[in-house]
Amino acid sequence: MIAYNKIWLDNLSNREKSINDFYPHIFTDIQKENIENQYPAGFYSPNFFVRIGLFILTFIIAGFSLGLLSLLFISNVGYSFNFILLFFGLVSYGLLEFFVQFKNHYQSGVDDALLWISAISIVVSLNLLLAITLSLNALLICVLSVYFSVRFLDKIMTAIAIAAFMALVFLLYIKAGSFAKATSPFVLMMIASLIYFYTKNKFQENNYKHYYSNGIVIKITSLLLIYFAGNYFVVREMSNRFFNLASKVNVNIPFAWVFWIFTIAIPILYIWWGLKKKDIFTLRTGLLLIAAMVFTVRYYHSVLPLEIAMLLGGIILISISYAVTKYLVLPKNGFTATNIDTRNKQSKLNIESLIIAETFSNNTNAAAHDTNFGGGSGGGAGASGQF
Amino acid sequence: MEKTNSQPSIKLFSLYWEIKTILYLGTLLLSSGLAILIYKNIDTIGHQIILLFIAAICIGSFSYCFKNKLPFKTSKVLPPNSFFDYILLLGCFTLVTFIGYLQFQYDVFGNRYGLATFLPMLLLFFTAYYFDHIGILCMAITALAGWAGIAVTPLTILQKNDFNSGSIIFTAFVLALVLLAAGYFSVKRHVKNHFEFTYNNLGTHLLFISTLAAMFHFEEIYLLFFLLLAGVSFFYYKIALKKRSFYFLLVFSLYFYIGLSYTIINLLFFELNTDMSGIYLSCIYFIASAIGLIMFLISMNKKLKLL
Repeated sequence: MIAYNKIWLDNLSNREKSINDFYPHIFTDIQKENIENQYPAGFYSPNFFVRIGLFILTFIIAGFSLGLLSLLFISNVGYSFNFILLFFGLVSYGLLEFFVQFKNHYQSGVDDALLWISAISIVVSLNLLLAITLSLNALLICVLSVYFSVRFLDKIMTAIAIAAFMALVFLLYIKAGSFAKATSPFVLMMIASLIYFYTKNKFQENNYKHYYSNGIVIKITSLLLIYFAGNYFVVREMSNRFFNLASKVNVNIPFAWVFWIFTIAIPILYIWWGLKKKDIFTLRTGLLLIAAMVFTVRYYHSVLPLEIAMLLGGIILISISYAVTKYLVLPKNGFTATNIDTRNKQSKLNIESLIIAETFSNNTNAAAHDTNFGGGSGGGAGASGQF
Repeated sequence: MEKTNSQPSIKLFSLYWEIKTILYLGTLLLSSGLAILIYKNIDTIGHQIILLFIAAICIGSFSYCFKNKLPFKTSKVLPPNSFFDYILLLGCFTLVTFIGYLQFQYDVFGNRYGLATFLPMLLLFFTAYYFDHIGILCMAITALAGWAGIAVTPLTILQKNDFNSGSIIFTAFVLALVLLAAGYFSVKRHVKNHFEFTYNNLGTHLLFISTLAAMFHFEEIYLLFFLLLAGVSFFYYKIALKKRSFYFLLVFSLYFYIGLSYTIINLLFFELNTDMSGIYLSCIYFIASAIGLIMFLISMNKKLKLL
């Protein structure tokens, strides 16, 4: 099913393994070349920045080709745009296969772009041509994204596939009546957990090894979906939208206390589990969800004024990191506070420093311009929106 | 670092990025919270207490940093831990806020508004060099640009600058040259070599954007600026080859492509006055030129990899 040459894919992962084994020690170009010769791969995979360039340019070519096609056929032959778009999506898919099969493109920017162009064109054109219901759309997106994940190993498609599948389950299940509506969050959480436990170790097995990184995406997506299916804010908003249950502000949703427990306990559970199992993905998902938890709590119970909450939150976060850094001055229980892998790709662009300048300078500029002093703090408040 | 490197057999689980992110968020929340607190209490009695509080945080942060820092060198000095970096950032932020507050409330600098922005900028540059902190260098450059009247950070560079004014375009162009010169001398004089990229990166984008803005703004003589853009692009072509930089390759290609497309479209619609055929021709131009640029990037990719 995989469109790419499997032996070459194996060789790429073997290369990475050897490089990782070598890594902390001196690593010369000759060593690297030896490894590359040992595991040959004939893919065309240019440098990351060239990939970005090719991605953008492929989109430009596609956009103007679509424009040209529409001009030619709508004014001269009278075809409708919807047909042209569908045709265009299919042609893009053909080109994608061509570049992958005959030109050996692999993560070159061209194949990435063509994959998205064909997927988006097909979904949009089918929606324009036929009046597709919400659940049919979920099915269509799910099928397409599963196909693209399986054939082209695309990770974002995998995340979309899981999300679309859950949406489909939700939309079908709530048709069963009021009992189904009330229990839908639990059912969704259960299904997401099933996906999580079923796929947890699946992609380390030999048959599925090419899907290793897709497996990680499935894991993270299902962890997120377990949380959001039980999050108080999401449940309440969904109830309002789909069943008009709690449309009045002071009417609470059923089992509210259960959802509050989920909202608060699950992120902590993830962090604990991630630390216990030394699983970086669960840990990071948990940390991310702390933000969702704080947001949810503050949305309904603003105990403190925003600035005081931010101040206290900042002090708590800094204290936690101080304590952890102090505790891990020497590695303990297999944990360390130092950076083991210094090959971080982003570090070359100094992205961290740009983020600092972006988020902290709004305030400094405003503080410096005395006429609109303090106005800039709105920038800081904007950033706090995540919490 | 050495500790982990000398024992590769034990697989350690690193919490480096997690701690760093939590620290970043903590620092951001604390400083933004402070800024809002001052803003809301500016006319109440409490503001002197807040001022004291800010001063206390500032002094505390800086004394921590002075105590824990490694000796100054003109080459790269690694921070003792990642905590250090963010405490320094907190110190700088509170310092700048403190100065801004003094100016607002007590008019310390009177009507010399320039000084009220110039002094924090100098302090930021000094801190960046003294403690070797690229994030604060970025803040300092942003402050320098703010003093000159323009925004340089990635999200604000297009949003907040009014490139319809000739003087802004000119200022941006000069500032870009200043930043590039700073980058050049960082390496030439061996003063914090690793700051070069930050200067060059911000300077390059500013240079290209101001040149493009000049093309769009001075419509009568846009071809002149197109020639300037072509010259600058050729210069960066050489730089990309010399430094083996895929990043600068992408940057100059895309900016040049925007300028070229503007020129071609202008020629088609305003010089030749084509109607419908112009639309067809421009579609064909975009398809052909993008294919051409893809071929250029692919051949450059090969060339740079072989270097």
